[in-house]
Amino acid sequence: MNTINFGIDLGTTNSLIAKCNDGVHQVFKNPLGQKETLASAVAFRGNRILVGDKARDLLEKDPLNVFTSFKRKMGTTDRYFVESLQKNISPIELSAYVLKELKNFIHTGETIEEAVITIPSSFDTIQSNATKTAGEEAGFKNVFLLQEPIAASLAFANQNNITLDTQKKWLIYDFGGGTFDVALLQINEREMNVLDNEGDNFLGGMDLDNLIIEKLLIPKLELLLNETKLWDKFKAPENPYQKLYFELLFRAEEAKKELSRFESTEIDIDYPEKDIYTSIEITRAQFNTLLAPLVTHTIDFAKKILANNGLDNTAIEKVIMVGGTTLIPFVRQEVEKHLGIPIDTSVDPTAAVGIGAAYYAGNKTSTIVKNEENENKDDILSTPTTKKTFEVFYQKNSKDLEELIAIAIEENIEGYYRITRKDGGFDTGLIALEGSINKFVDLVAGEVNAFELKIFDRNQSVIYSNDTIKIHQGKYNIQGQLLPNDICLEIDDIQYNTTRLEAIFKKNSVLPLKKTLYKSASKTILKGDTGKIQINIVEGDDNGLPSSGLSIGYIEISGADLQQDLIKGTDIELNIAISESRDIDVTIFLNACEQEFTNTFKPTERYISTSKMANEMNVVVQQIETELQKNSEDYTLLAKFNKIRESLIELQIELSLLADTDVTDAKFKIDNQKRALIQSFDQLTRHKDLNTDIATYNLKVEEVKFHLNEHKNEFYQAQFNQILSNERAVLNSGNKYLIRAKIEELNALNNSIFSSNDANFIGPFLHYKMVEDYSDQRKADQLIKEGEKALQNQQYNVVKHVVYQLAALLPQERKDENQFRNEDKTGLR
Amino acid sequence: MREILNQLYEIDQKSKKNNLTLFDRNMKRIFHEIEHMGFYTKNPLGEKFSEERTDIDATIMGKTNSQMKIVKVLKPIIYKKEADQAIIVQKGVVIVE
Repeated sequence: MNTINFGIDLGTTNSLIAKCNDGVHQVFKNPLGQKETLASAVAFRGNRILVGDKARDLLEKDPLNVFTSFKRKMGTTDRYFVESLQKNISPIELSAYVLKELKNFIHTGETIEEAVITIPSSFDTIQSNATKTAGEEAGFKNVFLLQEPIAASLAFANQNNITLDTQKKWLIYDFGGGTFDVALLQINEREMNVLDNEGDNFLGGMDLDNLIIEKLLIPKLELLLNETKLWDKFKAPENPYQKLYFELLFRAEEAKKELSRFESTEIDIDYPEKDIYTSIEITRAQFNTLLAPLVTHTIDFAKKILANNGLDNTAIEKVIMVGGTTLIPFVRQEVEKHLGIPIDTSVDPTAAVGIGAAYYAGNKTSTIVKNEENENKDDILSTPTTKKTFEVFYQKNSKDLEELIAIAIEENIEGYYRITRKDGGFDTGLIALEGSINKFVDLVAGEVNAFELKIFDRNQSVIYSNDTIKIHQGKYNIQGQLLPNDICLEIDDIQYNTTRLEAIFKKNSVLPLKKTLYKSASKTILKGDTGKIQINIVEGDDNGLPSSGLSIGYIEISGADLQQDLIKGTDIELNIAISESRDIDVTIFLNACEQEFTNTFKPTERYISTSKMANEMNVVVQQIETELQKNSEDYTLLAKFNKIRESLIELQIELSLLADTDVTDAKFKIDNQKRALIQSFDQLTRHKDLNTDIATYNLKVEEVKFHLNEHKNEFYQAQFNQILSNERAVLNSGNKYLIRAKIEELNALNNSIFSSNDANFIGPFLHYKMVEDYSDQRKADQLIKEGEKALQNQQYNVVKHVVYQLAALLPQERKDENQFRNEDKTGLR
Repeated sequence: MREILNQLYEIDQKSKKNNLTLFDRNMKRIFHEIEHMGFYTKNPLGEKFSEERTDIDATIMGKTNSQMKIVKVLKPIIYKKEADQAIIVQKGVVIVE
């Protein structure tokens, strides 16, 4: 049996869509800006239709073509004249636009054919039917209506899992952004009825913002601006302080939110036009004084309902607080104090009505019979190739901040199109089709800009959809100069006791480029000492060995250059920039010493350190010797390794014979040969290393899976899923360091899962019992005794602590196994 | 995170206005770390305004025309990067003239 599941709060100022399935609710967010609510506003701008917050932005500028609060006119014969279309439009049509826009919030790919839409309890039959018609015009086959106070109560009752045996009465106090409503509800064994309601359609949180400006800010501003009657000027049509007023409105709303949490707040006013930079403090007490008459007004409505129904406050079990304005502590206090009824603030005040509608929908059986065979699955095409009517053209790469998307349409179609950028920052709105489409779209600099194109028929049903449009801004553009290779920084790889390359700029990035990196010192260098850190900028594959790349910028900072000691672990800031002519600027800032070093390298000048070169060759020769021992069976490989080794030794001799003062290009030739040899070695071993790392990775994944199966835990499962989320990209990257980083993450997770169950420490304890060479054997014996006793008493948490303490007593050399020994490393990590 | 970024943005703006350079490095570092967590902000000041921009909530001063620019930014645009796709998690709040 299918249920409807979708609930919509079609509000006067804001609307919302939510879903409920198996008792779990979800509020959908606007893909444009990620807000849960959509402004109930529609704007007609030439051939374009805008719905939501964007439309509301234009209200003051183009009041003849922007429409809001049309819910108040539902069910009337009133029509709105749209200046730009020169035609009348009904409140039903406007509501249908809002409902259609809400359907776009559903990102789960579900088609929504039925929905529950909320209406105020004051709506009569005509108004209710008008709402239903709006739903049908928005494409719903079935629309069910639900009164807003009931929806809010449903959200409350379901969230708190309330079961009632006796009849109760509740008040729903709904104080929103633009309207106030109070309703009396009767609840009996989960059945709810609205007995009465009252309200003010022109009272809401927005009025409070204006009060803050008028009563608290204006008196101070009048002094600063040397003005009188500033409030009147703010309200005048040709307001000379319009910009200041708009800013104050925003600041007042922020201050209102702050005062719900703090006793006082400051409003910063920045108005350079009159040289005013000031801060005005407002306190919660001041704000409450402003608010008091409005709250009293709302309380009077609630009292009126009680009086009209012959009830006193003891007849009401609770007041359920709904609407954003009920977040203000003073509103809550006053309502509770003056009505003498306990209030309940447990539901999300802005989403309660929508969520309640979704709960109702989640239990409402669908009346639509699904017939899979009859469903026209070609209605929405996910790829542009299946139907030839539309052909989409665009530049895949662009250096401009605007790019053209052209769509050729073979037949003449009446309808609309809409292009949205997937980050939510661009939306054409609905634009009427007039033959083929040529539309310039805004691009975000330096990003892959993904767009979605939808083409609708006259009834706004999607007839074509394409979400594969991607335009790269600032990347791979033939007009810009490209980097031919990765530009990397050589850093220490403490774990593997070596150095490695970390990409600063990737191959094919467009010049000029600039980046700041933060590294930390991997060793201590004392002031005046001979120790040094090496900043080596290398051009070459970031997966390769550092010595296989070309060193294009090299700076050494030794103890003699330092004004203070550089302590291991302190920050090193590196600013690296490459100009279009490939000059490399490097600025190094040592945080601990507050010293800055700057160097500019030009591609024509190569910086080569003979000592570094000699060391690099030495390291590779040693690595080859290890490989030779490991691969004693593979004679072809052995021969290749041997040849590289011999050539490297010859080069080492050649380098050692060079005089320090040599000014010929000999050392550059040696460097070129060295790099070629090391690259060959790299090629021979990289593949092998990768395979080993991937195998280790897979093994670790299995290990974690096994532990997760044993100890079911949502938290760890979520962490595991997170690690695996980009698995494919990492494994295909060919970058062993990325894979190794993943292995480390899996190891850490495995350890966490292991440590979360104290009983897991029995095994390690039994193992540590067998160890005989602790650094303090007497203490170890004592701990083992303690552990045995704990084991007998099944005090596994004690066993765990004993294991940790025994581990700390392990012989020193075992703990040092992974420590970094080679002194001639970069000093950066 | 959004509120932290808004506050940092305000501190940054106030420091610039008062020519306070003392904390520049620290601010830069904080933004760098936040970027590593997938969030970044954009100050659209001076950019061209169009009705198709949905990365900002704009208050428009004067008459609308095609040359309108963002003249004041009250809140920056905040992006979050998820699997290579940046998503706007907070629209900028701006004044356009």
